[in-house]
Amino acid sequence: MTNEEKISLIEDALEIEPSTLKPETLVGNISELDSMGKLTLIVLCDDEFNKKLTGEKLKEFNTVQDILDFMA
Amino acid sequence: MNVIQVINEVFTSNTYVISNDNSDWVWLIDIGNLIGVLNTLSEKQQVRGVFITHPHYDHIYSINQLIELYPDCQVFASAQTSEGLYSAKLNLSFYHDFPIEFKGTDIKVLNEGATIELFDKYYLEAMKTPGHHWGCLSFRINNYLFTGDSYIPNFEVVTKLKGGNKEAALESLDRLKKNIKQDTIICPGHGKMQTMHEFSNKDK
Repeated sequence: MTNEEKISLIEDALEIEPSTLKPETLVGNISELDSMGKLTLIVLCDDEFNKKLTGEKLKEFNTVQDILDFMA
Repeated sequence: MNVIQVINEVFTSNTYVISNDNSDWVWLIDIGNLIGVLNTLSEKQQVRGVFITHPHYDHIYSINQLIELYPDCQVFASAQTSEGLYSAKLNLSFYHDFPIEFKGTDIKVLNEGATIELFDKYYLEAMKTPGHHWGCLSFRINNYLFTGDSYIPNFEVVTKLKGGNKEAALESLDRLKKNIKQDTIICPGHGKMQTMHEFSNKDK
């Protein structure tokens, strides 16, 4: 899956307008990533990538690229 | 008919205990903190049944303890919620510290318009209100409306969790609001139970 496709999945899951997120977008600037949004991302990583994302790991992410790398 | 709100520890969701002065049984809307429920009961009162608004774990997390304590307790839910009760991933408890999967075998599936007699002359009516989750039900008993997470006054419906759908949520919200009169007591899945009149005044 390409980075663009992964970003599209994240935007869809978090109900963010398409083409809003870029790899360099700061995770801290994504207002949709509130507690419900974090849970949604955790579920997405499990469902689509079979990766167990934890709340602690999520805190380590600085940019969207970090999320994409985790999904890889 | 009496309705007592129990505020649960997980995400401060609500469980409602519905009783009647002439009856030795109560009914529940959702089941979070069982101890909180038991604290509202008299010695002779038993839980006859629980109506689940949707399967997210903050609304169901004591369901197995409830059934252990009251083996005859009936569980009512939509078909989609029933599926979620048996799957820790679908009810999202898998992603928290304590996965929950319903150990019982009997869930009574409720469809749109299903009516259950709770007490003499008191009936619960089920309404399908998908959006927050595709299996969401709301319940009306006289002038009480139990909306789960389909309608929490002054808050936007959360639709980004698994099973959510924004368009369906808006349609459900419209349907619910058409059923609300000024004296309707709204009992949401989180927050206070109040009449629409009180909510409206708060906004002013």
